Amino acid sequence: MDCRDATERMSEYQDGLLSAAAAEDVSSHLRECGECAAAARSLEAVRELLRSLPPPPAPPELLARVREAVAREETGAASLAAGLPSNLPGGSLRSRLRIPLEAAAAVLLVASIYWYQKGSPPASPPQAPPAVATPAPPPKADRQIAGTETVARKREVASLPAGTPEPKARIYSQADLPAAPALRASTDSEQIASGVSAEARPVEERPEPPSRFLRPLPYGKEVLLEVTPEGREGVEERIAAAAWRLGGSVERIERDPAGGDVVSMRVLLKEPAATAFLSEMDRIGKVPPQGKPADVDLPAGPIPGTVAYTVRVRVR
Amino acid sequence: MSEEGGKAVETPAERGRPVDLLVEAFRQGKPGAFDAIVRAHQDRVFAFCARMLSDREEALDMAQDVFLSAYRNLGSFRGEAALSTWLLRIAANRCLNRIRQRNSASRREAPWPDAAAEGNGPEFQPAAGEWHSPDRVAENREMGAILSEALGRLDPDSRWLVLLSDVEGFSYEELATMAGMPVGTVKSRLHRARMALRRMLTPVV
Repeated sequence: MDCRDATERMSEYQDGLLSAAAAEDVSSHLRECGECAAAARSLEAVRELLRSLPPPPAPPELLARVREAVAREETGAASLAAGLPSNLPGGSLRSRLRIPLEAAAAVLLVASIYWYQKGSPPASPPQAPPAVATPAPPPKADRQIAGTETVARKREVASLPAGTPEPKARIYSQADLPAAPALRASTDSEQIASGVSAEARPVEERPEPPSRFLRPLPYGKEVLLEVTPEGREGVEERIAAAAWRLGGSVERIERDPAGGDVVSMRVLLKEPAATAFLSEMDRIGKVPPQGKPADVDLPAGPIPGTVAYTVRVRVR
Repeated sequence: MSEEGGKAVETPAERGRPVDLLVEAFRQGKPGAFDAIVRAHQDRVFAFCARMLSDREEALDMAQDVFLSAYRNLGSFRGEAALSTWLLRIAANRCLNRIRQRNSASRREAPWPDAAAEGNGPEFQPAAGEWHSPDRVAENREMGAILSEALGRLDPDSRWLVLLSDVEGFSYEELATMAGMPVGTVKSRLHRARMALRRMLTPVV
């Protein structure tokens, strides 16, 4: 064996990876060649130095930065959008949707009030508001509205110039008035039309005004995943793995407070991955026909091009 | 055992492997579990990144990316290797990609020769001989600093192999799998890298 061969095999020799015969060849060469023996010693010293090299400690800010990144990961659903980094100014979903959601909420609030007022009267008979309830004046038909004189009417008459004939008065009954006090106070008398008497109007039960208009619009589709009791354990890992494999993320996990089992998981995906994700769910468990997401669920995701699935896990 | 993607999936405990308690705690949603994982492995991951990238800030960014990637993918961590090995694999791949991107326009560092060219790759040439200068050696009194600088002078692929093999203890077979090359190629490249380091460090070892 010459010096070149011995040098070529030096690492394997020191790792103990040579056959016995080859190792003996190298050993005998190192005994005879001082230069190669010195090279072998220095190579071993370098490797020992590498093994004993103490790691430089991680800077203290690393943990804080990881925490921040994870927090952004959990809240930054907008990073699923077409390449939009979640750390761009205004790039977060909340900040980008704040103004449109508030505007939509305001419009829906006005509309709901309008519908509320326009609807049929409440079950109880209308009561005159305190502001317009005055003591009964002397009987004067042209200034009375079914026994009650409105402040507006008083002001109208009082503001007429002297000598002006008073306009022809009309007499209204309580039944002619609209149900809501606000409308009664602000509606011109000429526009109040005689209607059905209060007794004849059907009583209608109406729900409370929909306060959900004031909240951000929900989004996403529901998926029901049925699993066997044996397949229950680790199902969240498999759902999350399916989402991650398809480039999505897990937005939220809800667990049963009693047992700690996952009852639902919310995942975010890009739209092209939606079908593949549902196929994965069919492999993990069984998605019954009634558990498949409906086509009419809108919007599908927090931002265009994404879809959010709330996978509800049920043990069958 | 359960079914996923048509393949049987086992937990580490079912295979008789030790269960990483921190990973299990993380999977169970225990508060602070991921913090504990970061604390347990941050020194090793950061050290690897720092030695690979030779830049503290870049290493900090990279270590953060590694842990964020781990956070996203811990659900699919099968426990076939230790968590530290898994994290270092992520770090190794990302560091190498980062260096290749960084040096894509640079011709200073030779590309990774293919397996067919084994044995004919460019021999490492220490830069300018300044390492042999007594003044230079005297300036770098701390062996760690000297070694880190020597590692930084290796081409990225050789540095990657030396760090994973001689510092982190990966086997030739593991490196071959990670690098996608034959074990023999890994052995020869590692040997050349070690010999290059030996030439650089001879004055101080």
